[in-house]
Amino acid sequence: MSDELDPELLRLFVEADQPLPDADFRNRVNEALNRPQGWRDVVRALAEATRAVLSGLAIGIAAPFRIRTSRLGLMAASGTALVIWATLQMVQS
Amino acid sequence: MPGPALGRTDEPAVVALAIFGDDAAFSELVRRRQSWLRNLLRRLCRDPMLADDLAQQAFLQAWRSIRSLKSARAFGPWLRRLAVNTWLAQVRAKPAAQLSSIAAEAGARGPEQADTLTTGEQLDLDRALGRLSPDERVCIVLAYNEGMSHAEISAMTGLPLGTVKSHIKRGAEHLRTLLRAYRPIEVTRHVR
Repeated sequence: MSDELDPELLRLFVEADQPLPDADFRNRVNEALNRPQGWRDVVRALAEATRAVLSGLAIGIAAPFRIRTSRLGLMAASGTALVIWATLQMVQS
Repeated sequence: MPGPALGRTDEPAVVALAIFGDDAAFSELVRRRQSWLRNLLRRLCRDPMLADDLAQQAFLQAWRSIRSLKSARAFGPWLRRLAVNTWLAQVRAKPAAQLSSIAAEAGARGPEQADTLTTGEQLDLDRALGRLSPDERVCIVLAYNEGMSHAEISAMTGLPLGTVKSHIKRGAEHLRTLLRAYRPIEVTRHVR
């Protein structure tokens, strides 16, 4: 069966689609948008903060396991250089 | 109130501004899309007041989640999905008893009893749509009002493609029967 539609019904739908005045409706939407949400906002903010912290932790934990093998040498060299630099700093102080 | 410059800006640019939190841009989107969305929901609900409430909810939800919109050009279909989902949630939240009484009403006043309706009722497409089951109605409205393909309707509603096709076929037959008395009036109007 194709997606063909009954032209008579289609015409009725087109006729029923009348432009509706927007002023009242827009005022209602704008009022609702500006209305303070109270505890819902607090809950939403806490949920967002928790989600951000958890996703940051997950990324931090997963990151070392995602390093490409070809870059392991570079990482090892950087790590070694960092340890040497920290040691020298400690010796100097 | 959006400025005159926003009123002349093309929609994707206005959507992009709204994504960055510009509430005047979002208000402009409400101005542009309200009539279309309210008409769509009036086809789905029988009650214009309820349709406006659902349209308002859909716009509020759109404002809260507009940052999740992947492409500014997809705003229209995305907003339509929000509106249809808002309506579906409202239909599904109704107690089972209320839904079965609606179905019983639809069944009791089925095609065979269409002639007992008044002419005024038969002229009203929204009331005729209200006699279809919610699933039939959403399929018919998305196909006829929104020009969506059967596959798109299936993807949006989660109904199997075959079910969508049969809902549209049976729903259209049902509507034709309910609106049967509309035709002679239309012919008279054209003759004048």
